[in-house]
Amino acid sequence: MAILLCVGLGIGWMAWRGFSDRKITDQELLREAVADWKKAGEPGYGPNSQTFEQQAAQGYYEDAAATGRLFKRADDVQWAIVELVRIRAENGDIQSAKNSINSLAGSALQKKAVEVVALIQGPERRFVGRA
Amino acid sequence: MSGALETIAPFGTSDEVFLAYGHRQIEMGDFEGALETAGRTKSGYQLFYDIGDALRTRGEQGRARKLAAHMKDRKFAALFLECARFTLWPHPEKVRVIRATPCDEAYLDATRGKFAEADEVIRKNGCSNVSFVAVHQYEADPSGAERLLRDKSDSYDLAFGLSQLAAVAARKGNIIEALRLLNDLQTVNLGEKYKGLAGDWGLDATHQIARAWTIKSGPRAVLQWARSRPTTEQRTWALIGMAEALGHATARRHCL
Repeated sequence: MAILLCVGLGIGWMAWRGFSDRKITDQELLREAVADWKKAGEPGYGPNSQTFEQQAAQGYYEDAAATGRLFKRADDVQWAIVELVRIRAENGDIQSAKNSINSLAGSALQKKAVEVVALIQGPERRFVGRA
Repeated sequence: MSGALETIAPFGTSDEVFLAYGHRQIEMGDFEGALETAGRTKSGYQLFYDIGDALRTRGEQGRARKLAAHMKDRKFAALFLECARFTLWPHPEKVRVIRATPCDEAYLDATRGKFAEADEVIRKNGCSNVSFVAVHQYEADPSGAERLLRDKSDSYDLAFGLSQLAAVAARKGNIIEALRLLNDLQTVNLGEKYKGLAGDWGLDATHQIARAWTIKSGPRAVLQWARSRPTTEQRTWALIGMAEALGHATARRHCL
């Protein structure tokens, strides 16, 4: 009985240590912010745009795209698509920014997104974030 | 810049990209090239003002006519001279002198770090907007700044000032003070009209506190506080502040 109790306590202690040592990441926190907005009944025009901006800036492009799709106004969704391309290019990832433009083929957003990348390639803008 | 032109080429012309290219040429002193670029865009005349500006800065106003003389399209050359004349020569603005009030002097004193002088002027003249001085003073004299804010400001200024002091305290790493000030902000009665404003100011403070606290102590303790914020907006800003602290990017444009 005592042995069983000791084993149980040991497993419990190890599980607790595992949980408390688990690293909290910025990606999780930003996902939690979006989940919290959903849980609150999706108020306003969408999740906080700063959440979207941070996800993109930190390089979590899939998360940012998913957050952008949650905006309720069509204008905001379109803004998010172009903004994501822009931030990707600003992060120094010009090629993947260009690749992501291919998925916009045929839409009016495509030219806007291409312009944004071209302007970042120009000398007026400096790269921020990851180079 | 050639990469930019290559990127845009398959999608036709883009004024925005050409204008950026033209600006670069002006910066490099390639005015002939900039005029050529202007000719390739619908709104190229915008570059004419900048060329005039650049020639004025260099003291080379005389070059404008020579540049125009080399342009093939005479109508475009005339338009260049017409636009550039607005920026080729300095146009001195009329200066209107407004006498500073004693309260303005106090704000100026605060920006120069003369807080004792600023406080005295505020107290003598009954200045109502003291948060500006208090926020500057808080860096050097937190208790004096808070006393000034609580003694002399109206409720609107007090709420704004407390939110600012909370943010400064957080940035200085004094999290306990920051949390106390944020708590005090939530008890200021602003009436129905300004209730929303106090909420917005509180969000900024919440964001700053979460960021600074995470940098100082790590995320575990802060997460519990962030999740306990009473509204979705507050929780979101606290989580964003924490994520900023843990990530590698800085705050972006749309802070509030």
